[in-house]
Amino acid sequence: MERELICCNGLTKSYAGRRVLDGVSLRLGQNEFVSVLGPGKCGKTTLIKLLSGLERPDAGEVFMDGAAVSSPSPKRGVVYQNTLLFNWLTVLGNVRYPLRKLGRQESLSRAMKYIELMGLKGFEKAYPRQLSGGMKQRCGIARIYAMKPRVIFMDEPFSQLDAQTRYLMQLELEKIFLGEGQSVLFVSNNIEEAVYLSDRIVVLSPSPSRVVKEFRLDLPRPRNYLSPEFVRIRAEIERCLSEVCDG
Amino acid sequence: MKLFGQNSLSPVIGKARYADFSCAAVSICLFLLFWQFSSALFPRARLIPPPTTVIPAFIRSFYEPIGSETMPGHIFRSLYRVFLGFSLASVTGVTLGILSGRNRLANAIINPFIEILRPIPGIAWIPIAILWFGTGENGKVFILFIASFTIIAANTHDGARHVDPELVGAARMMGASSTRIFFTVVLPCCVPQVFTGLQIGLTINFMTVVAAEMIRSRSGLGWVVSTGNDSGNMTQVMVGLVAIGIIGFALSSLLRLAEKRLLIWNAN
Ligand SMILES: Nc1ncnc2c1ncn2[C@@H]1O[C@H](COP(=O)(O)OP(=O)(O)OP(=O)(O)O)[C@@H](O)[C@H]1O
Ligand SMILES: [Mg+2]
Repeated sequence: MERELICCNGLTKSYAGRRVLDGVSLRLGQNEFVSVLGPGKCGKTTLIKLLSGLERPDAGEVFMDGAAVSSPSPKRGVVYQNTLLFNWLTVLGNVRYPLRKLGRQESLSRAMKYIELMGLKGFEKAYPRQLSGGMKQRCGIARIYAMKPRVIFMDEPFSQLDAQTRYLMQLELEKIFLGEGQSVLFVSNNIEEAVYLSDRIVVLSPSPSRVVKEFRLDLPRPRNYLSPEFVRIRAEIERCLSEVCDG
Repeated sequence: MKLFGQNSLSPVIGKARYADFSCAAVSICLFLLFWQFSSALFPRARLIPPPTTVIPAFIRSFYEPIGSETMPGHIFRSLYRVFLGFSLASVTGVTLGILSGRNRLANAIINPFIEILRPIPGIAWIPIAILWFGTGENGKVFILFIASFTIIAANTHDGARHVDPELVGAARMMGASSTRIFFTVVLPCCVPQVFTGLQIGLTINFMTVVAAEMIRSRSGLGWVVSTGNDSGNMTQVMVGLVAIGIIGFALSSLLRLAEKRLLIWNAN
């Protein structure tokens, strides 16, 4: 790993007396791509909320560049599982929302660039209610890409996309990740996708969850889904996950 | 990238509206017919004049004055009072509703007053209005204000309280200041409920102005009805009622139109 960007120690969080996270420790390097896998409802979304500063942990701390994280910031972009678009703004309005400091012309051209990249050209003036689930997800991704944060947290960002679109989105994400030097923390329920994209994969246990295993992936990019190495590591992670799920 | 399918928004065309409109017209015509013939047939219905008397009288009222004003004058008087009272109530109600919906302390202070004032009907304030403001215009505006600001505040409060905190978090994550969040997230989230409150408030205000004018005034739609009653002129009473019904309907339609314009994003 290169220089460390984000690190957290012993993150613990309970909701209504039920412990969701039980001492999760992670680190994320500069320009590193880390995926988090885990059984359903194990607290992946909660982990992203804590790491991004949207919520505070009961115990443990989050650091970015050595400084404690205590509130959300545009340096830490979040692509939400439930998109959380602003329904009263158009697609263009949503993507421009974080770009206010840029000045009219630049914010417009940058927003349009990412709208196009996400295949939403022609829908700039549409309101979220007029979009399909997958299109909303792409809009939520576009607004975070356009914001150019130092680290992107992505919470099952492609879950509602069809296979073909999903594949294209993976390619775009890899391109952006490699091109802009950002770090990505990626939550997924799709092992293949995680193996294709990640430098490292972290597996969580069922809640109250902790990190049970880490996999380092040194395959060269762009990766080939069919290479023996790829297939082997995928199977290994699959086995690990099913063991974790069985308890 | 054509892989993302048809990139256009299909327009929604409604032919059903036209059919609805025709049905409404037919049913109103049938009702007028029924009214016409029943006033010839039943003794109780004979006490009020038939449409063939009321409709011409209604039209005549637009150029022949009733009292000191023609019908447009009376309509204007009533609407002007509603306008003043309702504006005052809206500004106060929305402000109080947002304050109490967003701030716990403000809620503890404001809410009891809203809840206690809410069930008191506007015309119950007439004695106090006269005591404070005399019988002039200010008293009527006061009555209208107090009759509707509570319901507007209560609805706004509901909207402001239920702003999704996750949306506020998302705005913060995108670097928005508290002021910007208030105007770009909190306010838009409240708008649907604010409109519900305004709609109810306006209806209440219109009913209240008519009632208040019936008790003490020299003009307005309520006055048309009450002086018709005093002089035993049932045609004038009916003309007044028709005008009240139509203007009330027009008012709420106007507000609905404004709501539709402002809330395109919220349509179903
Ligand atoms: N704000 C909250 N209030 C109460 N309970 C919560 C809250 N947020 C999460 N939980 C609970 O914490 C647990 C973990 O939730 P979380 O959404 O983090 O899991 P997840 O791994 O992201 O789930 P999924 O696989 O469905 O995305 C769930 O049982 C959930 O009900
Ligand atoms: Mg989740």
